Amino acid sequence: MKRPMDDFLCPYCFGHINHELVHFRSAKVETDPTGILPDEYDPYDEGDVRRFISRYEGPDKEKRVQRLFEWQRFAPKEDPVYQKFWREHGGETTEVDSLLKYSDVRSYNRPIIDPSSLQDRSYLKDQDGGGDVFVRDADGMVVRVELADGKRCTSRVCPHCHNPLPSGYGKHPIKFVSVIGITGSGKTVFLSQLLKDMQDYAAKVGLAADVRSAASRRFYEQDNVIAVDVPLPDPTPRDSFQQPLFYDLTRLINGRQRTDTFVLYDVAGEVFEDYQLIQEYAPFIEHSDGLIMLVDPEELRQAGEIVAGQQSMTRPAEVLNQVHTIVFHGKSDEKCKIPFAICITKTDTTLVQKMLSRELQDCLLDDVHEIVDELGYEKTVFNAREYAPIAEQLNEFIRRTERAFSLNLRTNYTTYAFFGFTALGCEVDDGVPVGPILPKRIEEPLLWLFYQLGFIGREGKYPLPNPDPIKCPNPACGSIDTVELTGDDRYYTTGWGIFKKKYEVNRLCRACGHRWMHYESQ
Amino acid sequence: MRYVMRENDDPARRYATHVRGSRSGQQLVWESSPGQDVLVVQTPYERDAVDDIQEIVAGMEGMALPVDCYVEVPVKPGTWVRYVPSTSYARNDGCPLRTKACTYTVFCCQVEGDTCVVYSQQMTNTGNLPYRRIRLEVDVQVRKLTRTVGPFWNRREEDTGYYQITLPKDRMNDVCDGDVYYTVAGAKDIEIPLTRAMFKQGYVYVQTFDMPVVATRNDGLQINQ
Repeated sequence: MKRPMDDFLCPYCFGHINHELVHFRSAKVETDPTGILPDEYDPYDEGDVRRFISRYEGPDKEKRVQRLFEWQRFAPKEDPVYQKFWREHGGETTEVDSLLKYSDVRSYNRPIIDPSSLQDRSYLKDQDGGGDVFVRDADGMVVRVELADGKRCTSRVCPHCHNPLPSGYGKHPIKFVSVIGITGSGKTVFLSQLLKDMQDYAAKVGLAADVRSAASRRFYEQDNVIAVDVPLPDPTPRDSFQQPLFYDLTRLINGRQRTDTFVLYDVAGEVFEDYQLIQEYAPFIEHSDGLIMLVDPEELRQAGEIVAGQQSMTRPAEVLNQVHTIVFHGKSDEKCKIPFAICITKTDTTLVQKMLSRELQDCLLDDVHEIVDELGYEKTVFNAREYAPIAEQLNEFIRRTERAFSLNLRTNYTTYAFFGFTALGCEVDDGVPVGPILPKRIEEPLLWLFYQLGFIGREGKYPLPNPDPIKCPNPACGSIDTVELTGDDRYYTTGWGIFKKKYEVNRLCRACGHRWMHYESQ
Repeated sequence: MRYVMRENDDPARRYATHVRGSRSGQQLVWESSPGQDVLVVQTPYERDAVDDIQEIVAGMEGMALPVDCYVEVPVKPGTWVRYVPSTSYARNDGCPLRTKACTYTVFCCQVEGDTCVVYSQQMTNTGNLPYRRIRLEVDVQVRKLTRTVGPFWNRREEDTGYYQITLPKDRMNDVCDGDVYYTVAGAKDIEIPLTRAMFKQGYVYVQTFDMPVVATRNDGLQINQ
């Protein structure tokens, strides 16, 4: 169980942060220097300020100097640390400024207070008389500082890059998930639809989802609205880093609450086409605990056989190679263990209907169903039983039609699964959904990741896309020439008379004849 | 009750589509706009009601509103209709199937005074369809009847000249007279019907030395012999 005193990672620069070393954006902003200096001195002119300090002999000099320093300290200005981060990630900040309606000053231009600095501590209120300037929550986590005049500074920022940290960020274990895919695969539409109903989807597996940042809400309420007769959002700008999307997921374990923070990144598709951009965004892939990759069905090889003139693409395989290279810094002899959900999008379209069997289409156009316990509450499990026929058919489909892609996955990744969904469920006419909008199975890859990340369990089994061959456990053999036993062959007896014993087995090695009970590890 | 058909002028906001069977297999479920009442039309397996709705609506003229029950349309035998208010759908998690081996089509409708307005369906290129063909598998057993003859040291089985066809009684309501029949070798162009009454009885005996073959004219029925 994570305690608030543990270090955590900044979701922007991935620097390590201790909760007592965070910085704060000042709640106090001094915009008007009128009256601080006598009229003949211009407080904005450095020369005038130096002359005032060296020549002014009035009785109120000390008071004026103090006010001058305070104004200089709390005047709004560009933050070089913050600006440096954003110059390296697209040039302009994409921060959502929720306080703009209350103030003329942009949040990221507010002065930064470093409670570990002696100078800044002089402006802060001592909370306990013993020098502790922090206000903590019930668990001991630092939540704010207060200025001497009583103003509360609650906006925490990373001490390394000065990007804002959502309220409570760092208190719970954090998992990072990147959504990747080439341009046009539907990442933004997928994310908007997913986040809009995240609370309902999480509730299907007994999790309570709580939006933790203004950017998360704004993503689907304002910036990427998906609605009938409303044009679909533009592709994610290639050179612009999108704000991470924060959710807290809470569940009950033996009657006690357990919360994890979930951070989603929307990575522009063009990133994987530009070497320079890959380097900029590599840390987000590198630090991901899970990956969701979207594949437009038009990229599949079989699409080229169905639609005349359609070029089959190799870009999904290239994306896989680049992800692997990023995670392992170019080393090619290790398999990536990050759980990887590969999703075929737009499964309601005519093209996909032609590629997939009727049975699989029916499964993919059905809802994801929760599993309830005897009291009628949703169990905190991934419904693997319902997913199994989809997994079986998609595994076979990809293996049969996308050999290079399938081989790439098998060679470079240990934990992956295939999914299919439609984020719209309706026709799109010139970039505008015709309606009605009926997303299907959009949450399934996310729920699978919840299972892989340990948030929830699993009920039932599903076939793996890359099952390892079952080796004979006989140390003298180790052959992979093994077969499953069924029916009466599963039982054999040894001994005789009262010493007769019956054994149940399910596996036979054809090389040495050894029989044993094999348990699948899933 | 009067029944009229109108073109659906707002299919994005007034819709009933994506019909399918429930997980239990006993209910029909669909996606519809919030609070939308629906008319469910059951037709023979090979045909949906999308193109015939005008004729069906005309045939319903004067009928009482079939709320939460299936009523056969008088001028179209084999076509059954059921009005499903949105509240009923929500309460029952769907609409019960009447039978299987048929097709169900849904239409948006609403009651305005003494008139029931039924809105036409618009087909799309997505996988969400306003109709669903529900198949049915029927297990049938055909067994040659024999008797044991001869002295105790030389018992042998002898054909009686009869076959027993075992039919599932619980499928009685799912089949229509004329759907299922059997033939025997040597007279394959003669199709002898297996009726609902025979399904109710459960057994049929056929006098023949050739094994009867049970078949169906209904594409929605799958006979497992």
